[in-house]
Amino acid sequence: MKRETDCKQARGFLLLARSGELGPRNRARLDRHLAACAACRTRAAETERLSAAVARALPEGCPSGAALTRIRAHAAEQTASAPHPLRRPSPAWACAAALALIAGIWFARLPPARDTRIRAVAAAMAIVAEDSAATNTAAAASHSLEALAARILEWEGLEPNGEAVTDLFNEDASLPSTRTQSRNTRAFSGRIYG
Amino acid sequence: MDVTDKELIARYRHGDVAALEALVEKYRRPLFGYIVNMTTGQADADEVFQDVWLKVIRKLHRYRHRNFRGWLIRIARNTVLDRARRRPEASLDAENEAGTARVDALPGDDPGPAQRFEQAELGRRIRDAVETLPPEQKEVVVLRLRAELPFKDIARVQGVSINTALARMQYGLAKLRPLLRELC
Repeated sequence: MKRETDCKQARGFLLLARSGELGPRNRARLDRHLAACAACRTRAAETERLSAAVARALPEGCPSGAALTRIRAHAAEQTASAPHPLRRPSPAWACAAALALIAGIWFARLPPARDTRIRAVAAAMAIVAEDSAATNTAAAASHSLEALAARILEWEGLEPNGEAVTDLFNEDASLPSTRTQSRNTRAFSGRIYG
Repeated sequence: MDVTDKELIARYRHGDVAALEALVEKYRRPLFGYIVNMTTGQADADEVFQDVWLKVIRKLHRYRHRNFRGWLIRIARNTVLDRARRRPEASLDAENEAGTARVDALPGDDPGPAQRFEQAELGRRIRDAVETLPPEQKEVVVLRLRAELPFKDIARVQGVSINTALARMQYGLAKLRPLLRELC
């Protein structure tokens, strides 16, 4: 009975080994089983031959030149038409633009003596930019942006959902248009404005 | 999705049409191999192949998966199924144009006429045998041996467990096993 169970499992393992999906531990188990089971060794050889023959016999074919031309034309048409979704800014770029805006607003409000905080924000921005570019995901960009803004607000002595925050962000008239550029920025703004 | 696919998609998103052409070429064989075996001839396969890529192009800006090949085959499968639903009689046509191309695809180190005939005959018998498999078993055989999809992806494409996909392959091969006698 044990042998039957092993043989049944080995048949599945054989297929997985052929497709490169068998892990090293199960590969070792399969090798041990094959070393001890002549029937499975025969079956393994048969499966190999049969699979190769079927793969050769199944049609491969080739798409026509006309089909490839139409695909190429459609691809070119999609990229040429503007504005196009393919050309929407990535979350990382939207995040970077939002960061630049926030930093601009904040720096404009700073008296000259705040060099230390400026340097700190510059460092934080570098980290955020790197993080956003590396991950290129909306979630990461939004999270990074929110984290940076929270630190800026903390330095300014403001609460994240207070009216003072609204005032801070509304001082610059360009903020609303920027907010429309990115879902991340909108989500972020929603959280900030409460 | 490997790095190359990711890079090609990113380049196309930035307007590089050549990057999309590279993707089409990269997946031409497995994708068309799957389609031509699940449809009814070159013209039909051509249309499906084209439809698949038009859908891909439309959806590419929203693409967030990691396995481009699996995503591509899922789109192809849905396209084939939609087409079969619209034209049910098409799937009954077992003798198709692609059969001619298949005979040419059989291997041989410059065999003589007699050997070529035998190979062609064997190829036809194998194809006929594959056609008699239940659709889900045939699809697993084609996805594995022609599209070279791993079982993990085959299971995902068919919406079943990996064990079910493996079992379908085993049943399919078991039914083809009698042909082994002719392979000697």
